[in-house]
Formats: sequence, C-alpha cells, structure tokens
Amino acid sequence: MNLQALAHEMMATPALAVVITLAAYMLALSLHQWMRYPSWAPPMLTGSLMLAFFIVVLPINYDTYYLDAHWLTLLLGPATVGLAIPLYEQFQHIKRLLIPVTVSLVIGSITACAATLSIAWALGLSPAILASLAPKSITTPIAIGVSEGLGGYPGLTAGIVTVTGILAASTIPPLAAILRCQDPRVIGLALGLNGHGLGTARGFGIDPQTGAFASLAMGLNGALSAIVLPLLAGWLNR
Amino acid sequence: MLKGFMWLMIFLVIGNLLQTMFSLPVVGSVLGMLILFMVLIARQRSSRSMAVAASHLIHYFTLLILPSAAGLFFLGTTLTDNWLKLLIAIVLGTLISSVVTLLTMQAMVRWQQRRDDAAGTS
Repeated sequence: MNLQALAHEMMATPALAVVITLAAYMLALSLHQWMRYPSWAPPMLTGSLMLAFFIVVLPINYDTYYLDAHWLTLLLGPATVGLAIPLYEQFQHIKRLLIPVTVSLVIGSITACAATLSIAWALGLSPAILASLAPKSITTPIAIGVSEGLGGYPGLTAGIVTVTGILAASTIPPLAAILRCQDPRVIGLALGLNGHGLGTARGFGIDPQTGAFASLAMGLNGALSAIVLPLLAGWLNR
Repeated sequence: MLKGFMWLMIFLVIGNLLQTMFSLPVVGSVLGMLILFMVLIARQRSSRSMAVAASHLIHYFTLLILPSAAGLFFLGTTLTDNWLKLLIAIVLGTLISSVVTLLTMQAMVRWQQRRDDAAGTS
C-alpha cells in the first residue's frame, strides 16, 4: 500500500478529525496549565491554532475536517440548550437588584453591539463580516449560533469573540479604577457583559461576588442578544 | 445523566423544529435554550437530571467549539484583507461599551441604594 492510498484510507472515516480535535484540546489545556493560566492565551486560542496546524500538515482540508468533526460538534447543540440551567440558577440571586441589572444589561448590550457595528460599518466592512461581529460580546456557543443565523462566518465569530474576551478581561479592571468604580457588582456585570466567559474567569480571579455577577451578566446577555440581534438584523434588512 | 441528556436533546429538537417551521434567523440550540429557560422560570425550579447532563457538556465547551474556531485560520482573503479594520472595530467597540456598562451599572446601583434607604427610613 503506498502512502497516498494510506492517507486516503485515513480520511475515509471521521476518526482522524476526532483524534486531532481531542489532541489539540488536550495539548492546549496542558500548555495553559504549564503557563500558569494566562488570561491573554486561553485554551480556545492556542487550541484552535494547534488544530489549524494539524489540518495544514495532514492530508486533509478544512471543509472535509469540519464535516467529519460533526461527530463531536453535534454535542454543541445539547450543551448550548443546557446553558439555560446555570442561567436559571443565577437568575434566582438577582431579584433584589432586578432593576439595576436589567437597565444596565439592556444599555450595555445595545452599546456593545451598536458601537462596534457602527465603527465597522463606517470602515466599510461587508455585511457578512458585520454579521460575524454583531455577537462579539456573547458567549461563544450562542455567538456562533447567532452568527450562523445572521449569515456570518462562524470561524470569524469564534475568533472575534475570543479577542473581545481577552480585551475586556484585561482592560475592565484598570478602566474601573480610572472611573472610580469599586463595587464588585459593577465590575462583575461589566466583565460578564463585555467579556463573556473570559471576563467571568477574570471576575472570579478578583473575588467571588465579582465572578457571580459576571457569570450572571454573561448568561443574561447571551439570552437577550439571541433574541434581539436577529430581530434587529431582520428589521435592518427590510 | 442519560435522562437529562435526553431532555436537553428534546429541547434541541423543539428548537430545530421551530426554526424550520417559522424560518427564524436563530439556530435551534439557542431557541431550545431560551424555551428551556422559560420553562424553568414557569415551574420555578431547576431539573436535577438536566443540571447533571448540562454541567458535563458545558465543561467541554472549548473542545466542542474548537472545530469552528479553527475556521478562523482558513478564511483566506476575508481575514487578510480586513484584519486591521476588524481589530479597530473590536478594540474601540469594546472600550466604549465597557465604559458605558461600568457607568450605567454604577449609577443604577446607587439609585437602588437611595431607594432602599428611603424605603427603610419611611
């Protein structure tokens, strides 16, 4: 059997795609641990880089890989549905601060999307890129779903969401100091709303209350944006 | 675990059906999440079986997203032609919304505090 036939044989089943995804994920986790959990290099970023490297060096192209990896990504569906559970549990804790959280959430959520989109639009970016940018502040699984629904590029959205998360997690604590916001609930809400999972991780690094508010803001922002963004896009396209 | 997984899949199927029936611009999984969230609020308690299944799945989110995330490196000219503009939009947009969120929540928390104080003294 020659090498080419062997490569062909390897690609005939989705096993290779699953193996390289698992390998990239586990390598990224080890690297993250070895580097002592840096917030600027989340496993999502290093893992996708390693995965891209595997796809480039192996006799497989991205489209074939993506189809084969469906064997794994199918689980993203029930995982995203499952986000409703922590969201519901956190929702129980904010009843006393319902008005401040709701108002800040709506204003922050609209600003996060509108500010970015208007700058991108002014710079002349295409509608598909705008659709990929719109869900930039929401948690990746929901963001990918929203981006797909709006006609964006899921890969680009995943990258944009990661960059946004790194940026928000590293700039919000110093910004809060400049603006003299010391309240952990204020910093937490800003971290979760603008920086989703990465901002939330940063929040838990500050103190538990900051983390709890970040986690709540991340969940509510995801749910709110998932309803509002498609409606807004439909209205704009009319 | 399996029971909870089955229920999550049922909500996913419902979400997918709704998306197809009304040709909605939101994917089925996100619709399923919203419906499950509303069901939980309506019955006012969480579901233990679904909580177990969800926490296992959520733990592996990064793994499940990697195949889509790697797509970033295969976008070709879409990315190479626009990366600077994209970066400007992301950086400025994030800074603006971070400042707005911090100031709004700060003002709202103070407003709530004054309201609670007023309610406490009256």
